[in-house]
Amino acid sequence: MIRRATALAVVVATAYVVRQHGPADGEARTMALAAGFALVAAALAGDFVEKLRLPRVSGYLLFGLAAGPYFSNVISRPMARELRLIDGVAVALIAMIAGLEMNVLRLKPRIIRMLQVGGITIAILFAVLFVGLYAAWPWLPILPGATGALRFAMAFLFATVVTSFSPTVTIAVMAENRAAGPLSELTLAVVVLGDLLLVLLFGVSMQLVRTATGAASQEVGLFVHLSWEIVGSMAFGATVGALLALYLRAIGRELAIVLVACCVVLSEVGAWMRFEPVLAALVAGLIVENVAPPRGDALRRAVERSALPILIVFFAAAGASLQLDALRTVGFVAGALALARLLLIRIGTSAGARVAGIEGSLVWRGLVSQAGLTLGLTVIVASEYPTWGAPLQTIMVAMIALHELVGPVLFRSALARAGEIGRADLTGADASIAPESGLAGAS
Amino acid sequence: MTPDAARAPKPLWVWRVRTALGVRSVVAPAIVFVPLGYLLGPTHLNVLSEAVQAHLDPVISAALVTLGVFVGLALGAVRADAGRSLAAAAVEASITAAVVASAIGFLAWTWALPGTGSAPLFGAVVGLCAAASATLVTRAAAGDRETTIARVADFDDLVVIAAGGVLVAHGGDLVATLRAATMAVAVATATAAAGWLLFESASSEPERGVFVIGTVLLLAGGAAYLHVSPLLVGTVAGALWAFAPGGAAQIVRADLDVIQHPLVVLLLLVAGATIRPTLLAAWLLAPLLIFRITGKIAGSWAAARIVRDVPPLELSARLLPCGAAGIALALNYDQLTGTGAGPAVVAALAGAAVVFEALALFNVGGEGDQA
Repeated sequence: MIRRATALAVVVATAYVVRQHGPADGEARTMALAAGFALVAAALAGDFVEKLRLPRVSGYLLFGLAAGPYFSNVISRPMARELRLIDGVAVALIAMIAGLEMNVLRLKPRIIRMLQVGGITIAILFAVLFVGLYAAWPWLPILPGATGALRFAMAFLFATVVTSFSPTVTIAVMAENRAAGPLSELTLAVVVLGDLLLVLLFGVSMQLVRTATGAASQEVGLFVHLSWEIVGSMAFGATVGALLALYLRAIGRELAIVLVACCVVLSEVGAWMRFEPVLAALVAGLIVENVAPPRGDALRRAVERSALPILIVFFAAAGASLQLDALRTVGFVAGALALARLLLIRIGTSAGARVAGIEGSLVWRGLVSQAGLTLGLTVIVASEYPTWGAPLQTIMVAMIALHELVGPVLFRSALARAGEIGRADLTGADASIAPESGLAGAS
Repeated sequence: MTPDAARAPKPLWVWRVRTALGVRSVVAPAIVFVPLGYLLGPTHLNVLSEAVQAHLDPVISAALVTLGVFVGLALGAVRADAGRSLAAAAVEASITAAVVASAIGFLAWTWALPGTGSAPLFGAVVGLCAAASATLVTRAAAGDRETTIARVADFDDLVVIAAGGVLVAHGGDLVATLRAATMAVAVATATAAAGWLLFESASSEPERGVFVIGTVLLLAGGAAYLHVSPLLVGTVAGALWAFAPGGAAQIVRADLDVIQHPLVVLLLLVAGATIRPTLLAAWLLAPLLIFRITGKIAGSWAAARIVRDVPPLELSARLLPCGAAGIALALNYDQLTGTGAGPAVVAALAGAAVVFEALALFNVGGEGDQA
């Protein structure tokens, strides 16, 4: 602990002194310094926060906030902006991890019931949020003057983002607690299937917004755009996934680098081709996991190795980019939305469990977390529409911070109450991401 | 290895074999990746456009730091019996650098080459870039002589990076050079100390990887921010880890080994993409080829008198390939100077690397592995 605290002090002091002796930000090449500083210091902050029984992701975000322009300014605004260059890769990586967790064969026996619970929960959550957001739009700090089709599209998009879950937090909490049993399986399935559906909905809603704002080409219709974006993204993701699977089988070396390279291709080429990178990456992960599953745990180790640094920088940059002045005005909205979401999840899971004829009174506690995937979706919105996407992102980051603090604690209490903690050791079941991976709270 | 395996034809890139520094060889890959980079660069396909190269700048800095770290770590691996090899390498590299520097400096002055600035400084930079070597080792004949050649080829990078790292940052102005070198050493020392405190306290392999990569990026970022050489910063940090108590050196070596090969490939691709077919580059290439051969022969003659067990001509022939350090230093020079001479030096060095590596492949009859 003392070693780590000393190291953190040395790193902070070095970064501070270098910034003092270097040229003005406009002239300096800041990316490597910002990334290195964020990586080491945020990793240590995540470690300290974990000792307080909080998720590491909260530590990364809080570090970004503390080091960012609003407080110590060690990560200045230009540095934070440069760090956001990895956003696309991080989002693709998070989506690919979610895809890699979806094994259709494993889920097949219980898929109907899971779909019933997940479908009804998402339908209630999304529908009520959409109607509520549409009705309350003039009072929201996100382009309140929007009317007609634009208001409809923006409310649709916002409801989609607010509805999303966090598969990796779910998986990480299960792995940390060696949990296995009906509640664990049902929660994981609902979270993963729900996010698959929400990624599709996100593609639809982004296209609706583009059409409403006139950003979409007028020469072809909405259906063509949607087909290109959704079907094209799936085809592109499937191609990349197939190539990755082939590489895993035929060569299988330097997987961490290859995985990151795949995410760069999915993110950059996908964006250039106007595909939805999240959907493409999710499909790529699905293909690898279900069509050509890798032998051994080389891919898992590569995911751990490549994901952790990228996600730490991603979350620290998100924290450093947090607009605190806007938070003063959106804090109430974020709190109200989080509360509404919590209640709707509870109502939705109860209704879904009743329809499916299963015991599901504790499932809602596993659906509260939101993290990387949600943040990734808001980052995409904020990048494409900076004027109103930035306040949307600020609200979502506030909600994510709240859910990150509450979600894992709630899910763990549900697992304890269901008596599923430690049952993986008895049944021989194994969670796919090891607790020591540090991925807790990544997506 | 069985005799059959030793006789079997080797692929062109045989990067599984490590050098004494732990740096996987880049002898044959330069033939592949430098022309490929040139093809992908702005002159042709424009995939590695100038905008992409600007985005890759932090990665290149990290690659330069990584190479420097390996060189620094090698200092800790110098055993008592390698003292002669180290001395021979220092003599050989110094003579080669002096021959090339004198020739290029003289030509730059008499031809009044445009954009080169101070002729002696320009000559010194090109000389140091040209002094670095990599070699091919014939596995079938691996023994004391091969080990000696490999060590000389490795250790001459120390001279190149130590002197070149100081020179390229703020060359010419003595006060600025000393200030840059002091800053580089200070940043490297502080960051290396933080890394040393962290590496062994990591709770898992991924966390350890985060600390190592983060430390390398901090070194690269500090160097870029302060306008000092990342090669020098990396070398100082590597040397500190090498002599620090505990297992920091082994941890860094193991973790950087994973990313080293892709970084070196990227370095070569960017070097290729930086090539512009300018008159200055063309003017530089011919004298560089001629005087580097001259320098290597003279240097090897002197070095062979120190190591004794290798004939001078064989040593000079085996030290002909340029290796990564020279190209890295040229890229570093290009990064820091931002003048027209930078791309020309990179182009000339990359061209020379391809020529010398092709010659080296003929020299070992396609049977060699790299060291």
